[in-house]
Amino acid sequence: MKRPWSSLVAGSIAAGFLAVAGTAMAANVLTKPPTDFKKVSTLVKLPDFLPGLGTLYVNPSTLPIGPYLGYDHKGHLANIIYMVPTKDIDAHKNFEDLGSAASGVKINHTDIVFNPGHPGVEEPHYHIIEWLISPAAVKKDMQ
Amino acid sequence: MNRILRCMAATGAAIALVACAASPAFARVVEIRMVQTPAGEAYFDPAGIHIAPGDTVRWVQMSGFHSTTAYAPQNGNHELRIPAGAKPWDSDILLADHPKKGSTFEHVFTVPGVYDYFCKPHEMAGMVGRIIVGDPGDGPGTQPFGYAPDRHWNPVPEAAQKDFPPAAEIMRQGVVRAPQAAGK
Repeated sequence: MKRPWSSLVAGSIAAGFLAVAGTAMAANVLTKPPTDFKKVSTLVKLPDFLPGLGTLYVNPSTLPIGPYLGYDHKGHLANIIYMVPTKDIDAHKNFEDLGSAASGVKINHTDIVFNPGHPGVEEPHYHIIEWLISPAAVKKDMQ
Repeated sequence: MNRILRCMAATGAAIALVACAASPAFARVVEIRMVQTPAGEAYFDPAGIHIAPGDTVRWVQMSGFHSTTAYAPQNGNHELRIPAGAKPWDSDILLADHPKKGSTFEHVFTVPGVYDYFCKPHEMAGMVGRIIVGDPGDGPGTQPFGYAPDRHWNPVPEAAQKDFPPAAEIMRQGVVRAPQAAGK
């Protein structure tokens, strides 16, 4: 049975909260991505720091969905991002068990933002951004 | 005079057209903005322009990350949609926003005809443009999409096909704004 978009989003957000509830947080992920994660700017032509998102790292085997780990200018983990193509949403595709690289981190809030495409994900998609910092801190520290 | 009027009209629409006062005897530099809005719209503005042989087009990245890439087999085996004998261009992704260094790309157009181009990350989102140099002629850019299936080129995505301004409208108006910028 296919699930609607709202269900997909709810599932993704739920996954984030499950991460919060987890107890096996990677010890260093708050300041250092896992060793199998690569800086996105080394995989595609993009600047190291993307205004509004941070310095992104991803395990290439999980492209394009992610999770991506976004770090602020000081090297602190600021968000966990999933990039979901709209065609997959239209096809009612499910994404389950998207990894636990950031299990145990505390989520402050979640943004779901449309993006028309960018290097690496060259098709319209949604960014599901689970922020560890407040909306005010996003505006202040992530530009 | 016609070219100068077109230039003035474009300026009135808040589009930067450089060297508007230049005599038609001199090549112009025409600017096209590359835009991504906070709402997620990505587009070239103007979407269509008519220029003269020898004119230069300067693309200026205002926001987002874009490329200007000619539809040509040399660029990722895309369908040929520029005049035969014309030099295809590819800026690759620009990494800076205006006015920083690296936010612009220029190309000089010498061969008359229709030139279709796209933005690499946003082709699927319909970020495409059309430039007509002199007389449109009957070259590849005037042909229907998918006109040469035996060549096995990568097709222009259906989502992008509808976003090219019609050549006749470009010839009639000289400058065709992006619908997003024109508030349509």
